[in-house]
Amino acid sequence: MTIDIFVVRGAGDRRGEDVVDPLVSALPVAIQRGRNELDGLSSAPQTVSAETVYRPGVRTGQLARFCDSQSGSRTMAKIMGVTHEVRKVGDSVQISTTLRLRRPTDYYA
Amino acid sequence: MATVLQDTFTGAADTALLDHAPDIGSAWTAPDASAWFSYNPSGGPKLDGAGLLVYDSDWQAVTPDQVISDVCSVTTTLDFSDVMDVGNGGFGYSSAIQHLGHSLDIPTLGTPDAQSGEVVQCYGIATDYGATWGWKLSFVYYSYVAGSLVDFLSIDDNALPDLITGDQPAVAAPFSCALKVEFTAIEAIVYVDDVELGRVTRTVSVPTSEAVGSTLWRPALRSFGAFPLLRIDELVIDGSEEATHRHVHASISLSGGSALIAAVRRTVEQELVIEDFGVEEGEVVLDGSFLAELEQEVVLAYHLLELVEQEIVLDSEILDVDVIEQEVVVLYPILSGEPVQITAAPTAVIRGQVVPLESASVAIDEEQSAWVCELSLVDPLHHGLFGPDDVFTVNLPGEDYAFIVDSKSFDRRGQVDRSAVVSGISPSARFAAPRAKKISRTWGSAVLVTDAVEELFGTGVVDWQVLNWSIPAFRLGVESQTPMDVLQRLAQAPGAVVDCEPNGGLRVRYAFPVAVPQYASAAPDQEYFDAEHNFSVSERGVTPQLVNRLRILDVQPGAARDSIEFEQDKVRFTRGRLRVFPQPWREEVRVEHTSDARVSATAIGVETEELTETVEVIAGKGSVSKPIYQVVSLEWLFRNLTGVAFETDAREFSTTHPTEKESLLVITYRTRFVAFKAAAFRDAEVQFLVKEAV
Repeated sequence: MTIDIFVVRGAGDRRGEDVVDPLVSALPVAIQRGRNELDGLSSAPQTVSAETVYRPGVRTGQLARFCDSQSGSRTMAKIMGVTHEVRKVGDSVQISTTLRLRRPTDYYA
Repeated sequence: MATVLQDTFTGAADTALLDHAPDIGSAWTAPDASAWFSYNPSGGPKLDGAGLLVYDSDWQAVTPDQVISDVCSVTTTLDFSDVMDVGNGGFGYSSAIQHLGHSLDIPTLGTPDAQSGEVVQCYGIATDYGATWGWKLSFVYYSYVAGSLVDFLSIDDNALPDLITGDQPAVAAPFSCALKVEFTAIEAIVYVDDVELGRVTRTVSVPTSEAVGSTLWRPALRSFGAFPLLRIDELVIDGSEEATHRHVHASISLSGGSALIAAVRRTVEQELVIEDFGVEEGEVVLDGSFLAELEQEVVLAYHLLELVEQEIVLDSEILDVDVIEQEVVVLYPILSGEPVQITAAPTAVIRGQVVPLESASVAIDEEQSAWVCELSLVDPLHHGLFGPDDVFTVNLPGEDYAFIVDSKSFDRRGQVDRSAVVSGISPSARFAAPRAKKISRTWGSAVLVTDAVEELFGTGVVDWQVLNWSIPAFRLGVESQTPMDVLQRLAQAPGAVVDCEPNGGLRVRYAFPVAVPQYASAAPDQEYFDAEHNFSVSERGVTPQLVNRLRILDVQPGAARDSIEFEQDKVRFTRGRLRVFPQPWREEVRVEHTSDARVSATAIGVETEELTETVEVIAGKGSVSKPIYQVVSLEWLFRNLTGVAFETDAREFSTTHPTEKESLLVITYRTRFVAFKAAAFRDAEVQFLVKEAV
């Protein structure tokens, strides 16, 4: 069986380059491939860097919600990178977690 | 009149005279009297003519009066405080002292009138409770060089002279008294450019309670008397002055006025180096600049440097850490002034040994398939514990991270300025370059993705959390790639990525586990608030090329067209077979012709044929002469382009190597077609047409 499908989100009026992958040999695989490709291409993302309290269990791919007290907004972002940093300050120890996030905007194609 | 004092000498005492001469400025201690000289009062105290003999360095007798007039003063005090107790604690006396025959100014400073060897007598009167006590002292006054010598004759108590009138003592019992003789001599007179700057004097006090009847007081006086008149002829001061210290070198030359002084001068005339007038002699304060100068000019032994640095505390600690940076970086949430700190220092554990860490960072990015860490060791010598690929763990609060040693560094900028940094990476790095062995293989039969992964990584190593599907034969092939390369390529097919757990385990998950349009309704995995969690947030926006429509294919689309071939019968030339290759494939086809009724085409059915061809691959693409129904085998000539992907019943195929695109391929494949039996007439030219079945 030959795989040849179109995946469309929204108006579907902005076509990207064809994705040709010989390993996409099943229709569900092609659909997931198309869905993940569009998740990355169909909205203008913002790159966010946030230094937060240390928190174990944080993983890339998780969804993180940030509550901005100044604007009152709550935004969801995907965690793209995690750095835990521990350093001595005087006699005490400070630890923090820095997250690199990909936050989609409301601007969709 | 000079009087030479005679004494009884022993031979051994001759040289001891000068040897025991005190140095200028040293504290006087009584020398051993027996070694100093021997004085044996035979038959009682000596009278005139039985005194001491003083020699100079040339063993010439000196005349004491030569210098005594310049340097010596004598204070003689009658002191009853220790030995006389009258009444019940009340004490008072008045004294009057007179010379009999000579006047001796007591305690007048200056030149005594008495001459050495002369007998001095004096009277004392004490009055208390209406009674008057009196006594008479008789002694011989000796003088020599710069001192004086008093030799007691007698104390005749209660022997009042006639000149004292009044009540006689009520008690005529004998009593003793003390005669304390103090000698004050000039040790040195300091001149600079003939200007007298000052005098150094010294006083020796000898109470007669100790001295009377003993020879102990004699060495005291003797040593005192040996003090010469010293004159500082030259005082040269030069040096430099720094911000905190003065380095002064003083050269002092001394001289005296007699042969004896000259003998002493040889002892003391030397260059005196005074490092710092502000401190006591012998104490040297080493500051940093001095050490630095010292290190530059003098090659010091390693252990000495270490010792010096340990004791002086150089600035190595300041260079080790940026104190300002440490003090300034205090983390606190955006809406809170409470800094967030913990007290447990991070540690690493390698082979069961706990290694304290100065600082640590543990990180991962989605593009990576491993956690990485960078550890700064508290004790740099611990870096020796970390060998290549050694397994260790980093303990952070609530979570432990498994690593293998990726690299390490050890910097030594000074004796104590050392630092060691160890870099680690998750054990999953063993499946990736440069640690993993590269493999070359093409799967010649259809294979499940998870089976291929297990074949490469082993059972249970990779947690495959996305779709599982079958890959057709000859589509999955690798050439000189690591297992991690293959895993990432497999994960990419359904839009997934390879992720790594802190324990080093691998998992494959979708790049976007939650579709972006569903973010608004999805439950977050983590949630952060300004008041409690957020230290700082920064963001940056970009404007990409947006896409909302994609075509997903497994092979490049080819031109779809049917084809037909005629194969002539080798015996009956008007007969033959028609092979119809429908593309796209369909069995319900028919063949028509444009000739007369003598021509016919009768369907036989679907048949297959196995063919082997050597084809050229250019730009990752190639073609064979017949439509490919199945690939039987591939044999790459020299350069392996791994597998091939093709649309069934198409002649074109593409190769699956990610980078290599050119090669020669011997391909054996099976083609399928719909066969027809054809008949015509001699020398006929016939047009056959493939038509859709009605």
